[in-house]
Amino acid sequence: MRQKKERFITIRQTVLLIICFSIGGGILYLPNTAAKVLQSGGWLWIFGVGLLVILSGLITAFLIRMFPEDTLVELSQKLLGKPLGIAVSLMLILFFFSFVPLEVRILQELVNISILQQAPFWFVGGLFLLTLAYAASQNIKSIVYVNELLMEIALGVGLVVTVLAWQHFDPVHLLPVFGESRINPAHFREELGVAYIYTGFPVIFFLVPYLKLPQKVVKATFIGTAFLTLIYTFFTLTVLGVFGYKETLNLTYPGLELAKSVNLETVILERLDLVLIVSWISAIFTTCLVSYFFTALSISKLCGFKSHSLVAWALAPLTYYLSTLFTNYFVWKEYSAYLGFFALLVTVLLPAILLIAALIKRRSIQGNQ
Amino acid sequence: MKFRQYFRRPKKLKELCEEKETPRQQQGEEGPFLTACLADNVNYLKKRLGESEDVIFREYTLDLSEPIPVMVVFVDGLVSKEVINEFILQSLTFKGELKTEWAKDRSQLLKHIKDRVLNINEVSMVSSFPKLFTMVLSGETALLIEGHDEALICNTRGWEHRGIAEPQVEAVIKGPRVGFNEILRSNTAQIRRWIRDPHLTIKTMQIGKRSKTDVALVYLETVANPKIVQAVEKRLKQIDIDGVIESSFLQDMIEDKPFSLFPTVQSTERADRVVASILEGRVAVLCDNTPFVLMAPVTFWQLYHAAEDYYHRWPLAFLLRTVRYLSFLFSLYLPSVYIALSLYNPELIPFNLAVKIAATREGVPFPVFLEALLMEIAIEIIREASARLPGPLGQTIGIVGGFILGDAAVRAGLISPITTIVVALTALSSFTAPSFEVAVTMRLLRFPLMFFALIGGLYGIAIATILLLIHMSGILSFGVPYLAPVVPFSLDDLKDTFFTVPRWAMINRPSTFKAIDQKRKGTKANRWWQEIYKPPQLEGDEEEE
Amino acid sequence: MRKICLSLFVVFFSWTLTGCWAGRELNQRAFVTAVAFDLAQPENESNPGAPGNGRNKEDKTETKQAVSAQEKLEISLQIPKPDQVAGEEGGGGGGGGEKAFLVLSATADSFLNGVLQIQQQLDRELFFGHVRLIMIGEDLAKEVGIERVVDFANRWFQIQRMSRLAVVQGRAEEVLSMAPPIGQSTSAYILNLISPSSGSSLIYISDLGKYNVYQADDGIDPVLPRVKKGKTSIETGGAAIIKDGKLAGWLTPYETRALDILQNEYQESNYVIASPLHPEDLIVIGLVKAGSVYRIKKEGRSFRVKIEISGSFETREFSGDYGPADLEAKDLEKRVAAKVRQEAEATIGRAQAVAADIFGIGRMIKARYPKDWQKLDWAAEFSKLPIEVTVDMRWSQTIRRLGR
Repeated sequence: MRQKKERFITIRQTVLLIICFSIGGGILYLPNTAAKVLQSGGWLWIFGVGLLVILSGLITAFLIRMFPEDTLVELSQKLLGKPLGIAVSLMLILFFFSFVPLEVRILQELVNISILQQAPFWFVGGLFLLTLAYAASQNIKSIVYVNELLMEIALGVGLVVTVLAWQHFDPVHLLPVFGESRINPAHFREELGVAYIYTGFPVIFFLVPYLKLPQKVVKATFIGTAFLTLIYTFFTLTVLGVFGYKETLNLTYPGLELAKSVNLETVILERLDLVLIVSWISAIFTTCLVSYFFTALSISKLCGFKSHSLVAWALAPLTYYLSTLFTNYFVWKEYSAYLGFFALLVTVLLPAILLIAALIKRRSIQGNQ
Repeated sequence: MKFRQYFRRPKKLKELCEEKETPRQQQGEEGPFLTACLADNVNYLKKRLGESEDVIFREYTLDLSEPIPVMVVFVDGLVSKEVINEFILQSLTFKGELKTEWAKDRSQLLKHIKDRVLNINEVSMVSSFPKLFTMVLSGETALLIEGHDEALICNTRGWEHRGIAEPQVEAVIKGPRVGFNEILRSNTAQIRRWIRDPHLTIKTMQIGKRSKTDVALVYLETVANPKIVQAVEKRLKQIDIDGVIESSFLQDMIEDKPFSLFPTVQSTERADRVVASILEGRVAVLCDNTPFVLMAPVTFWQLYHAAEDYYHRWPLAFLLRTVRYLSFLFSLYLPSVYIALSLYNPELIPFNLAVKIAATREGVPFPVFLEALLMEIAIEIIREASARLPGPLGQTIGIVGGFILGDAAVRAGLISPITTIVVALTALSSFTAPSFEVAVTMRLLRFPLMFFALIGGLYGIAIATILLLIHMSGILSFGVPYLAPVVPFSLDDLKDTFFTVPRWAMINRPSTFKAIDQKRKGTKANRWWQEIYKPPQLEGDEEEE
Repeated sequence: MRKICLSLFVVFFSWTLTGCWAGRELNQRAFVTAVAFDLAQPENESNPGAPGNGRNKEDKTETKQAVSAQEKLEISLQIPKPDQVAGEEGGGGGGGGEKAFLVLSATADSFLNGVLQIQQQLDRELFFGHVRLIMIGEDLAKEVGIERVVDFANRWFQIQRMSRLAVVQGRAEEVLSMAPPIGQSTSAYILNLISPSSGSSLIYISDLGKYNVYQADDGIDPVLPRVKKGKTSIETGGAAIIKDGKLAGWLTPYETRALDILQNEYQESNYVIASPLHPEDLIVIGLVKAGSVYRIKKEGRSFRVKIEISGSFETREFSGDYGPADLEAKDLEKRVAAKVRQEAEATIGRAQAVAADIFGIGRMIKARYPKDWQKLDWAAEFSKLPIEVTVDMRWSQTIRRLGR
């Protein structure tokens, strides 16, 4: 007997969940990757990948609208049969979970750069993971609510910084529009790895049963992915316009440097970069929280546990261990590129397969009738 | 399950105790009943109440065809003696009435006395002793007559009480100066005077095994969400407690998150606030013997709203509210941010200020965390001392403690002046919270935050804030999200959260409380730009009409 | 469950109380406000007065060995004394002659090595979060280059991109240890002089961020403001042209203001013009607004650049008692234009002489003709680029007082 679930998530919250799952630490070094791909036209590449993601997001949303009662765990088993379905859900769970150690590592890096220069990983990462596990052991309602709140804070500060940085904007930096050289296939890691930052919408696979209006999921997904694309494009455009692509290539975190170059001499808190980092902790936190929570939830659903909180706590040591594997920037940059490929697989291929399966199934049912 | 087995033995003992108590309790609920023999009844009453001297047994004889003994029982001090003398005893002596035809029907005598003789506005009949006790002990007068197994209960309540006075805690510059007092009836009457709507429902119940305190549930039947009303009522009815001394007893028992630092029920002694909340579709719980009224559900932001916000013009109210939210942030974060910045991130402090702080800290014996902590504790002590001392002395303590002690500590070089400023500003900010409960919450939360700042700097503060937000967004106050309307977001409700809008723009009630009737009717018509509100033409001809 | 989590938290926190990750009380930090770099001079080392030489012999030999391969940097840090900066009113009588700041120097092969040496002389931890000024000595800028010393600032998160960068004509350390005529620290004094708030166009305004962006871009070469030690005071005005990270040449203050016009960053300045009607008199005009537009034409394989400057001025001072007159308007406008063009051409000439494209013409060409750009040897091309300057000046500002 399935308990009747409370449907409470609004469209706005769905949009914010998609956005907050996507926006994490990755955006801070996104312009660097973009500059590598298409030089001064890097923002166009970001926009293009965004369009692709919007498209596959829409496909996913159409698929999901057909099954408003099921999360991916049930849906894939329905469509692909039990063994394949479990495999697909495991893949998606792995995909969700793979963000957490990376984001924790990025957080550690950010904190060590700026706020606590000598704090060891067991403190920064450990405190963060404990908070994460505590948060993920809550019920879905408070997760959705806290996401909404934290994302608004982070987005607000980020937007203020980006807009303020326009005082240094020089359109010459964005020319020639399509970059200086052709897209180099040898840089496929950067070119396709960019997809890593866009991977927010699979969260709707898990959200549908809680949506207030499941039929509006297409609208929500479209707004979410489109907004995401706009945010990323705008941000990359700003960074490239302020620094030029050559300087952007020198910077590990162009986002932070952007905040560092914002001139607010009269304001008491004159270091906007630190303010940005502090608020970006919440952006990273929401990314981790969403992926961590849905990982725990799906694992407990697959194994038939009643409560997901035990899984949430049990995952913490594993995450801790995994994030210690990323020794430095280059290691996790490469990892994030592979994560990008994985993301493309999950966000583009998987919905397509599922949709085809769903259509075949529907036709066979109609045929039987 | 294993835990339960482990604790089996003590539980068994407890059960034994309960078993012993149950028969007596049952008896107390319904029986024993009155008998037709007056002497027996009086004996029972005297056995129970006789040793208390404030219970007055007045024997009386009805001079009918034969003398009928009558007993009048009341508690001295709780009753109005004039009412007893003039309207009970005097009317019983009016023999003309009693000697008429109907008086001869002895079996109906009680009913006739109730209907025709007593000129008291509220008379009822009871047949069981427990009810009789409750009634008599709450100030009513019982009239027992020989040959009847029922007693007449006359409302003669009237005791010494405080009049309606200006509220002490929540004072306003502009607005009604009426607060509640300790009498439930007068409090409900005050609400009635504001809302003359037949749908205003006042449900009364008695809570407390021994105190039998009257508790009233007040709400607008056509506005308040019935689910919320039911939830409040259900929780109130489940309370099993010895006595209710103050409404906070009830508050503790019906709160959603008893372990949370945040209050999920609001309390106030201002009548106008209660009325406003009832009009928003919330439920008020009035309790006898205390002027403090509970209101539920409540959102976090409402705890920072003062009654006055609605009496000033909206721009001023907006300013006041902004100041209040700002000082909320100050009262929570100022010391911890100061600690975090000065320990880990001095680059965030402007250079000139940083150098000044460094200079003043030269030679201060304590680290900055301890310094701030000591000052915070000192402030708390001063606050507590001035609250406990009688009025004028309290102010003196405030001045002596705050001013002289702080100045001396700075002069002696024990504390740096910046810390004093920070702590004083924090204390000052926490006073702006209109609700005492939430101010206390912030005072309590400040210390863990300072600790987080010590160990983690700004990172610690960020993590602590996230923890706090997770906790807060998990709270539901009677099903209403605590942080609404910020999460879940509702643009329409923001008009009365951070901003304020003119009265005429408040067309809807806050959707947060899921009221049945969303419209505040009539407000729409008051828009000044509408045709009917054309300004009167004071000069020129009136022909245009 | 909740209790277990709670106790875990408590244990975790009580454990962390012992560690404090480099947290320091404010009075245990030494705030560095300015950094100066010079090329170490051999005779400077024997100077016993310099506080940087308080090291013991072992250190000296060690550094000497390390330095032999590399150029030797002399690093000077300016640190304000908190009690003197803050308690100015309190101890006003005694501290008249004493400086409110301290300058510490060290000689080392790298910046961090130098900091380490200075740190050994101080009981407080050096804190670089408030560095707002980085000055580079002329010799160092010429021989070693600016990149070498700016690198530390770029990698050090605490130092902002808004920190001002300046090249000192002479030795940077000398400028840093000069007492400012007003105020308490040299760094704040210089900072005010070379920031937009000075309101003057004789200086070039740049900061670390701008320098980095221009340095990274191959279509533009950066320029940095110049600071000079005068006889009694610190002089600003003028600028240093940086080519390939090294000092390539100086611009005079007047050339600098032309550069400001050419880079569209002009603020305000006064020009002295001979009066058209009364040749013996001078008119001081204030050029209030000025800007430039670049027109690039491709002719075959080479380029031709036309710079159109336009602006507006007001008359401010007359040496004679003749006031502004309607008659002279056209003539005056022409004279002002000629003056501005003369200065602009001087600047362009100076830049072309050292083949440093300080106007960013290169990136305009790159933006418009990206294919041609890749084949171009821009430095060589720029030095012989035909640049034509046209100036259009308008007397369109307020005329406040009439003369005879």
